[in-house]
Amino acid sequence: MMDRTLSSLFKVIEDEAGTNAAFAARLEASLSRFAEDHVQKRRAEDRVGSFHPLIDYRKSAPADFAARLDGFSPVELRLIIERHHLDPSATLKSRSSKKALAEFILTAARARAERDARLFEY
Amino acid sequence: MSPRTVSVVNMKGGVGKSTTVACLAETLAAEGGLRVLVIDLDPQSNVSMMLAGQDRWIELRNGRRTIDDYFDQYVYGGEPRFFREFIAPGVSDIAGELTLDLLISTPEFRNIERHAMEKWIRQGFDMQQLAQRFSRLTHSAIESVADSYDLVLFDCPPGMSMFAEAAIGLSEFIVIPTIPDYVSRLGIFAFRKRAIRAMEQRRFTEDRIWTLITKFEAASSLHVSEAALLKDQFNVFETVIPQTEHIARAAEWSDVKRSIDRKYAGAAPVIRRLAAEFRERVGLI
Ligand SMILES: Nc1ncnc2c1ncn2[C@@H]1O[C@H](COP(=O)(O)OP(=O)(O)OP(=O)(O)O)[C@@H](O)[C@H]1O
Ligand SMILES: [Mg+2]
Repeated sequence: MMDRTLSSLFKVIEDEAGTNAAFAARLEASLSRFAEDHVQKRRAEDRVGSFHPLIDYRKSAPADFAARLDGFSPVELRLIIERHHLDPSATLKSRSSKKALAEFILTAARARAERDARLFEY
Repeated sequence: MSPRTVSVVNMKGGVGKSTTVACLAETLAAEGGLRVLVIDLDPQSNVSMMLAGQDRWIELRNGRRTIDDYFDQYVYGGEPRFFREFIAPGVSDIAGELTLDLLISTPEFRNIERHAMEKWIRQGFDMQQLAQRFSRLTHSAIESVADSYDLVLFDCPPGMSMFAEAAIGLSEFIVIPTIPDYVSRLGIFAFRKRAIRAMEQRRFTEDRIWTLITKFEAASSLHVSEAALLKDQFNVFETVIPQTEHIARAAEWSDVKRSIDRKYAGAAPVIRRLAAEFRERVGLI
């Protein structure tokens, strides 16, 4: 049902773009933005997928860990924070710098490693 | 040749302990040709119901062939019967030739520990001696049927009981099913210490304690993140059990026998992978 509705909607848009140049230009701009976001997001997911802040923190030397973080873009850093739930109270500002994001991950990973170590000891 | 003994245990409830026991027992008995004995140590009787079905369970209970009755004779005295007589042969609704036997439990099993405590403590035993006594009883019970099985699986209750302690104390391997989330992580930390101690007492090492990720939801970033952590920290089964209704449905008894594929449907391949990995881990190749 949904598929059919979407197909006919698509057809309407295609037809309109064929005859209405202004609409076609708007459509193109919107689509290319969408495609760009999409590609960027997918690329970020791939790169972020091989990194686990809590495991990598424990396994690597501090400088290496910092270097790994440095290699990520702000979008990727945010994705890491989201995936691993590093900001449970949403304290991060929406306009944090790349440096602030990396610092945030480092702090969270350290806190978590220290907490887990105590859990073993208690 | 004595059987491999394995306890499936976690202090945390509802993580898939009984389900794991049932899946492993059925697959290894039906397709692996192993002779399997399942011992239900949980008064909830879940694995008893899963493997025997309600009618057979009632019949066994009326016939006083339950784990409660077995321990009962030591607590209350009376004419002792051999452990073997309490075991229900040929359970499960899987079709074909399989040796899958079961010692059922009932809700009354809860009382045995308390009654034993009341009685034996009155006689001057302390808690530790009591635990030792249950341990010895369990041990000699298994020994008395050792020739008949390749694998003995204990389904332990959530929390801890003296019987679960005894099972852990005599098992060569421990499987800890775990849902990959925070609360379950707490459960593992708490329980592993106990399990490690049980192993060390017999000069076994930690590598006999295995975590099994259960009820895994691939679309949940929480599960993905926690599962990676578990795999990094502990000895974790390569096979991950997904959250799927095929597995939850398989728990219900069918009056008509069926194949593993029919019973576990879409989950049959993962159940087989688990069984194969388990078999290799316990060295029953
Ligand atoms: N992989 C799975 N997918 C979906 N449902 C599952 C899965 N594993 C177990 N279940 C269901 O979850 C519930 C709890 O499972 P189960 O009884 O095996 O856990 P348990 O650890 O033995 O529980 P308890 O601590 O009460 O003994 C049951 O209803 C079972 O059918
Ligand atoms: Mg159970």
